[in-house]
Amino acid sequence: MNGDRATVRVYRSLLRLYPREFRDEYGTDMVQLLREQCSDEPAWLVGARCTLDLAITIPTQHLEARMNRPSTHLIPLLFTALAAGGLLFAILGGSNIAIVVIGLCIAVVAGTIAAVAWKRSGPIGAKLSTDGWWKLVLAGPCIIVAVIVGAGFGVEAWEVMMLALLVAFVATGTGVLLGIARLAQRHSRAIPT
Amino acid sequence: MKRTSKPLPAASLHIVLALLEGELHGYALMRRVGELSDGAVKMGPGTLYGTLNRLVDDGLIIETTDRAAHTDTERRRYYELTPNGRAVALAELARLQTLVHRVAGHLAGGAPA
Repeated sequence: MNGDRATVRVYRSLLRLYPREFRDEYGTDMVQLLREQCSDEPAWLVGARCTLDLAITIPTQHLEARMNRPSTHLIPLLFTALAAGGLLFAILGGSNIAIVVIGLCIAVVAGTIAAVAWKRSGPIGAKLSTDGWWKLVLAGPCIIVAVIVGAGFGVEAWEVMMLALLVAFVATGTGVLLGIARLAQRHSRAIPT
Repeated sequence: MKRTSKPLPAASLHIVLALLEGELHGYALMRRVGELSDGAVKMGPGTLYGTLNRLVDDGLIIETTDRAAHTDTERRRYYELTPNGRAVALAELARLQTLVHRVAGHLAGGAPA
């Protein structure tokens, strides 16, 4: 009986390793099932089987939870920012054909990925996901720091640095706009209709 | 969610076959699966409820809410096959029967006299 209780106690604490949604939905039933198993079979046997079961099903449930998570607009926004950066790069390249070609290539590739990502995440508008806006805001300064560090180490690929700076500005700008949109969403929710 | 005609994974197959006779709660379902497989299949709680969760998502089983017919004092969740789930279970059964007959036929035909 003590073994049963210990097994159930350990099992209950190990349930925390499952994704929260799964645990909330089935945790109580799983503990009850284990308790009933312990009344039929020796606790050590049930414990051994459950250890194997946990080792297999915890990663599986995390994987399923990740795959079922609704997609955000962060990825399409990032690639849109990259496409815009590429386009700006091409425009600012002026008479330098190489820069124009590189900029346009980046714009086309990033734009295509962005279009696919937008299709997957749903249209922007009423359901705009503003999650991760701060990541975009932070991305800009991070890229700028990377460019400065690169320049400090003597990297002279100024075309790449230029492009990186443009992407940094576009990303931060997009992040700021998303942050404002988030504030607006919160504000509109706070006002009773 | 609509299922294709792909064979069910082993755990799902055992559960839908166990539910062919009627609704069961988790522990009874686990025992029924054990009986049907002569004790060869013993599911842990994670496997059982993970599979039940997937089957609910696929629309093959539903959680029943009517507790009037049950004498349990504890709160238990019962599961039963949906019409689609029953069709899938019967189709799986037919597929397995065909497989067994075919293999048995080959073995009988190819066995030395």
